[in-house]
Amino acid sequence: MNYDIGQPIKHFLLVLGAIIVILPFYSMMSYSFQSQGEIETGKNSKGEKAGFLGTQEKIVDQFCFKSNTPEKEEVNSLMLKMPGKTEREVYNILLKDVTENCLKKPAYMNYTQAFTKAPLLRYLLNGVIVTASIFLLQVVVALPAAYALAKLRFVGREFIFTLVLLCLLIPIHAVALPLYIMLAKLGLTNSYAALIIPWTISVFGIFLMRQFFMTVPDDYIDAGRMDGMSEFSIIWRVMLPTAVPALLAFAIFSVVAHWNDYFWPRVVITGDPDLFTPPLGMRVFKQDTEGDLHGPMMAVAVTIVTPLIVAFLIAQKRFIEGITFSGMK
Amino acid sequence: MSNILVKEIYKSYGNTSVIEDISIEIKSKEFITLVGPSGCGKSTLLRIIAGLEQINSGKIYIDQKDVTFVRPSDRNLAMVFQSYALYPHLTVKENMLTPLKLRDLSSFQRFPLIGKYFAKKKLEKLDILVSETAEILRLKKLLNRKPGQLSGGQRQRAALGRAMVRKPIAFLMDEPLSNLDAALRVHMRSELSELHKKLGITFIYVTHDQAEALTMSNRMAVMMDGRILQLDEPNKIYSEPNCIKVAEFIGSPKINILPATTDKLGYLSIGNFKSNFKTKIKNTKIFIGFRSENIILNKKTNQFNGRVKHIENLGSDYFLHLKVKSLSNKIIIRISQCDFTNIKVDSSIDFSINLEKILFFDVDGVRFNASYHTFQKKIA
Repeated sequence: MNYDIGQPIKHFLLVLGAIIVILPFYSMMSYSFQSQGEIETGKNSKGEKAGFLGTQEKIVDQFCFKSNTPEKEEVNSLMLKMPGKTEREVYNILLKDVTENCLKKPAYMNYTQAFTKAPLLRYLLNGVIVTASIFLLQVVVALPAAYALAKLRFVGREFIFTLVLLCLLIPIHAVALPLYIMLAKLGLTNSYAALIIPWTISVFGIFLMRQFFMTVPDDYIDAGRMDGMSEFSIIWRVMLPTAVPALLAFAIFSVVAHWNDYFWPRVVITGDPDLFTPPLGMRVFKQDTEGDLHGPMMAVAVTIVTPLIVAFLIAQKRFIEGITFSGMK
Repeated sequence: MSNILVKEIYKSYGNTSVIEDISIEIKSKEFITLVGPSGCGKSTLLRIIAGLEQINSGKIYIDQKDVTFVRPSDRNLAMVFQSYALYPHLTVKENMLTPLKLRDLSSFQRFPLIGKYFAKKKLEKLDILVSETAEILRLKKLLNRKPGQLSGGQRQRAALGRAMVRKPIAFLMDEPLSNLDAALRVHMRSELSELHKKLGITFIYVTHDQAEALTMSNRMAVMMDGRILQLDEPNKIYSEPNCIKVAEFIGSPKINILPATTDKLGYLSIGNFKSNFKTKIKNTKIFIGFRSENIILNKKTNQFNGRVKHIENLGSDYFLHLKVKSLSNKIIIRISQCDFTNIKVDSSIDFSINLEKILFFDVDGVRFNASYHTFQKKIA
């Protein structure tokens, strides 16, 4: 029997890699179910181990507690009904009531806080609007550009393509400041436009689609021309349908990058919280003086990530199927 | 009717010239084949006629109209591509509708989703055109399939259908059969010929396969290095090629070309063999060519003796590759099944050349009439 020691080692390394990648997601999920105490110590107040789902021991919702703290008038009106008790005693009774009402399971608490304290639905909507607009505009720009670079013959084509490649090397952070100043001068900060416009020209998209179009046989284009299509019709009616797999790949890059982007929205959305994108939603629970509220913060994170994972699982199938050049030989 | 005239066109990519001074007149309703080895410029010429390539100089006329700078679609020609180039995301029917829609509907009526509600009547008409064409090509059952679900031959017919629906004035075909398997290719040859007769439309057909050119066309143009070497009917090209290049390209197996000389009286000698065949030219070095079938076996008249080096069995015929001692070139002869008896590799074979059928070429490879016998009438 020929026992190959290489295989177990390979698998071990792969499993290790998988664990390293999955661990942060595991913590994120786990923390989103736990109370602050459990997150910090790994145990609940009785000293039980928290585990993945936490112990779900009820704790007091701080936000609920704060907003319902008994006020002077309430104490006074109750004192009339309970003669013989001091103000202090009545206050304590009320306080106990409030505390009991605010006792919640941590998982429930984290997620409700995520959706109420931060208007997460609004942020998710913003996220959808922004990422969808970015992707659509990127396609509108990238497809014709890629088509020209791949299939049309004109002077300076190689030079322009070199420029595209060079632009791939520029990190966004290097141009963030000039971009911000430009948008500020145009009075566009704190608007959807500020979130979308800088991303409409994706050199990566142009590059990716150009590479793909290089593989599309010229005969399709000639057939289109013989049939009487204009160059733009060829792009939308012939090239686009054949490019669906490549577009999906690009969509994943684009959508993931801009849905998860924290940096740019943080730069250009300075005032209006109605324009926050989902990642900015986590800021609500970042309370510098009292320590961060990790539970709700992780609940926000889970909420942000879920649509992406679902979308990927759906798109993955399309990926594999792909439209092949079945019209050719 | 339709009459395509190509006049003195030149075409080059950078410094490489692909087409040099080609002029060709294509008659209405004719089946003309452009044939030549790959890289000879035949496809480029076709694409120039289609309008897919610009030319450096020259003119193209269709029905006496100058179309040199007219868009491909406005020339009313249709093209069938080697790869078929059916749009893979559309069904056969939609593929066939595409050129019609682009021609007959306004851009508003072509608008996705809503456009069709404003062009119902026109679309019904187009549907009729499509089903008529589908009828001719036996495509009716396949109309709702996508190209990916069709076999090679079906795709071929669908591509023909897309070209036909527009009722163009000429079909341009760029090696349409080369992606089919051998049997289907032979079958499609006769189908295409039939279709040509049925439609009565000009066919311009590009191929590197001389068998396709010989079997289907009314006339064929043999192209090499960006020029048309000879333009004539297939049988003329076969029997009277005007130069060695054409003679070698057309015909399978390849024509036998041998160096020869004539003596001072004009008698022809090939290698060691001095014939009593008299030519008009004296004391010259020439080349002679003869086809593999113009050979007589076992005759002791003008004798060669060769050793069989290789045998190709084609079923009905055998090709024998012979090495003759006095000749540097190998000779290929064709013998029929019934003559093939007891021949093996290394067998020795006596044969003679049918001198009546010999073709004469000068040292530059241009054919001339040297025989008193065969071409006498024509010379006079």
